[in-house]
Amino acid sequence: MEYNLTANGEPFTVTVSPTEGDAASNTAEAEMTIAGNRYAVAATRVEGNHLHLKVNGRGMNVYVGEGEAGRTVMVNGLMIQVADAEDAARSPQGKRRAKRGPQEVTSPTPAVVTSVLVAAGDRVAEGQGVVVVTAMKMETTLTAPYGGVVTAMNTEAGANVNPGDILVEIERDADGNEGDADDDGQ
Amino acid sequence: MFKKILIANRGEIALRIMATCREMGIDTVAVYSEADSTAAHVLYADEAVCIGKPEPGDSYLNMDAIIDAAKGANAEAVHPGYGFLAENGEFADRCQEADLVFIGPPGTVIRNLGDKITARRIMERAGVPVMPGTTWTVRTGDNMDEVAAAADAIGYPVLVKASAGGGGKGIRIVHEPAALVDACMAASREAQTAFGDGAVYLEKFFETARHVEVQVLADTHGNVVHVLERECSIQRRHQKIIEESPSPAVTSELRDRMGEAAVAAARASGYVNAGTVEFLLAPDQSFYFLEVNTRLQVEHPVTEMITGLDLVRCQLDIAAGAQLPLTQKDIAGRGHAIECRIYAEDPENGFFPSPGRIEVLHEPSGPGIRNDCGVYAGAMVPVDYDPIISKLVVHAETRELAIRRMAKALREYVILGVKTPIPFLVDVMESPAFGAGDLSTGFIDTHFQDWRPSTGHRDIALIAWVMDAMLQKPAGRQAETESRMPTPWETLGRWQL
Repeated sequence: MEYNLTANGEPFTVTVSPTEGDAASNTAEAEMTIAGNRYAVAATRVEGNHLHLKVNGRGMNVYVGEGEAGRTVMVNGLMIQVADAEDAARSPQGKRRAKRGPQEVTSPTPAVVTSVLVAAGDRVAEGQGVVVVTAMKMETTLTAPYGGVVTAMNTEAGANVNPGDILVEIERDADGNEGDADDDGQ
Repeated sequence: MFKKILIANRGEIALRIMATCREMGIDTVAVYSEADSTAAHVLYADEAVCIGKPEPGDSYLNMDAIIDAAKGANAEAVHPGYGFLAENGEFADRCQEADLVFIGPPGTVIRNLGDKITARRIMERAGVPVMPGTTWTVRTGDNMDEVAAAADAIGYPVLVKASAGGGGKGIRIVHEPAALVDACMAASREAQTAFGDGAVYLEKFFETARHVEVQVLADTHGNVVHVLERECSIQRRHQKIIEESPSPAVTSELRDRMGEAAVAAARASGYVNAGTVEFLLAPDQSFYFLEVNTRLQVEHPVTEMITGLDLVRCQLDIAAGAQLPLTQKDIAGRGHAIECRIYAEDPENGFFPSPGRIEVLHEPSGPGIRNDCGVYAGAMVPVDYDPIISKLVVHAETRELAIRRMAKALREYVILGVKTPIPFLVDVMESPAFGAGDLSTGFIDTHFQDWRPSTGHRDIALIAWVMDAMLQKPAGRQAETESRMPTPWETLGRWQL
C-alpha cells in the first residue's frame, strides 16, 4: 500500500508491505520504500507515544505526538512534522507551509495586541510592520506578508488574539506573483 | 537554620530551591497562581498557598499576598528565586518589616544596584571599569535632541537599555541615528510593561564582545569571595540560552583580575548573599562592568558543577547568619560545565514563545548530566509567564567532552506538545564555531541566522508515522482500557504473605 505523506511540508510517497503484525504484543514488521531507499522495519510500541524501531537492523527510539496537521515525530533531537498529504493540504498551517512563508497576518501564539501600526486604506509594503503583539512580556512586530492595500483592521490595542485570527486583511498588489516561490529544498 | 521557608516563585527555580531545602530538612511553602494549581512546584512543596489570579501582578508580584502566605504558614524566611520579586528592594524591606528573612541582599543594596545609573556611580568610585554610556535616563516625551547628541558622543552602535531591566526585556540595538527615537520608545514601552518603569539609558554596544560574569558570595560578617566566572555570550532576544564555566576566553591571570573587580564591586555596594557581577569582555581582554544581578542566576548550576558548591545552600546559610565556610584560596574549578536553557519556544520563528501542554517528556540522564526541570508530562506551560521548561546542565573533564555530552543529552531529551530549541541547540553544539570557543553576543546572528532544522532523519520520521498508524489499537479496545483503572489486585501479580 502507498502513503502520500509530508515531512516538514515536503511530500514523500512511502510504499509499505506489512509482513507481520500483532496488536496484542504491540509489534509489527514491514518493508518500506521511500524515495528509492529500501527499509526493513520492525517496530514495538513500548508505551504510549514511545516506539522502538529496528530499521535495517539498527535500533532507535522514536516518539510520536500530536502535530500541527498530523503528528510530530521526535527522533535523535530532531522534531519533524509528519502528516497525511491530504490532511496537510487541508489545514491552514499546511497551506501556509506549502506556499513558503506566512500569507496572512496572525499571531504565532496567544498574545495581546500592544499597538496597531496601520489602518484600513493604508498602502503597505512587504515586510512592513502592521501590528505589535506581546506575549510573555516579549514584543513582536507582525509584518505584511506582501505589498498591497489594507482592506480591514480586525483588531485593536489591548485585544487578546489567538493563532489563526486574521488581524489585518490586505488586498495584494496585482503585480505581485502569488507567492509560489520555487522550492529551494535545503 | 530555618525550619520552614516560603519560595516566592514558580517553575524550575522553585523546584531547584526546594530540592536543597529538602536535603537540609527545611520545610517548603510554595505559592501559586490560579493558572498553576497543578504545576510541578506546587506538587513538590510541603505546603502550597494560592495567592491570586494568573496575571503576575495579582499573584507572583503580589507582595501582600505572598507575605500573608508566609506569615500564615509560619515560614521564617522567603526565597525569591530569579525574576518576579527577586530584585525588588521594596519586597526585601517588606519581608524584613514582617519579621521574615529575605534570602538575598538588603533592600537598599537591591535598589542601588537595580538602578543601573546608581550602580555605575558606585562602580566608578570603587575603581571597577564601566561601559561608556549615559548616567541619566530617558523617558517617553523627553527631549530627543539631547539623547541623539549623547548617542553621537558614545558612538554608534548604541544599546538602549531599561534602567529597571533584566531578562532581555526593554533592550534595543541602534545602528544609526534615524532609528534612535523609535528604539527608545519601543524599549521604554516594553520596560513599562515588564517592570512598571519605562526609564531607559544608552550604552556603547560592542558587536563582538563576550558576556562574562563572576559569581560572588558575601556573608553578613564582611567576608566576600568570588566563585569563578561564567561565559554567557550566546543569547537570543538578548536573553542567554547557553552558558558555560570556565569561559574559553578567560586566562587564569584575567580570572584573577575579573574576580578582584567583582569582589570590589560587592564590597563597594555593601553586598550580602549570592550575587553576580556581569562584565562585557572586549576582544582585547579589557572588561567593563555591566550590572550586578542581586539574586541567584538561572545559570548558577554551571558554577555548582565545577566547584562542587550548592549555591542555594550557601544562600540559606548566609541568610541564617553563618560565616562563609571557605576563603578565596579554597575555591577552584574542576573540569568544564555547560548549560542549555530549554524554553517552550520556536527556534524557526525568532524563538517566539510556544506555550501549551507538555504531551511527552523524557529527561536525559547519565554520567555528568543534570536537568533542573519544572514540568511533567501533562503539565501546562501557561501563556502568563516566562516559558522556561528546564535547565539542562552537563559536566565533563574538558570543554570538548562537555560539548559532546551536551549534544548526547539534547538528542536524548524528548519533549512533545510544545516547540523547543533542542534541534537548534544540537546544531550549535556540533558546530565548528562553538567547538572553537569563538563566542560573542552576536554568535547566533553570525553563525545561525535563518537557521532551519536539519533534513536528516526524515525517512525515520516517515517510518515512525507509518508504524505508529499500524500499531494503533482498535478504537473500542483503547477506549475500554483507558476508561477503567485496574484494581490493585489486578496489577499486583504473584504475591506471598
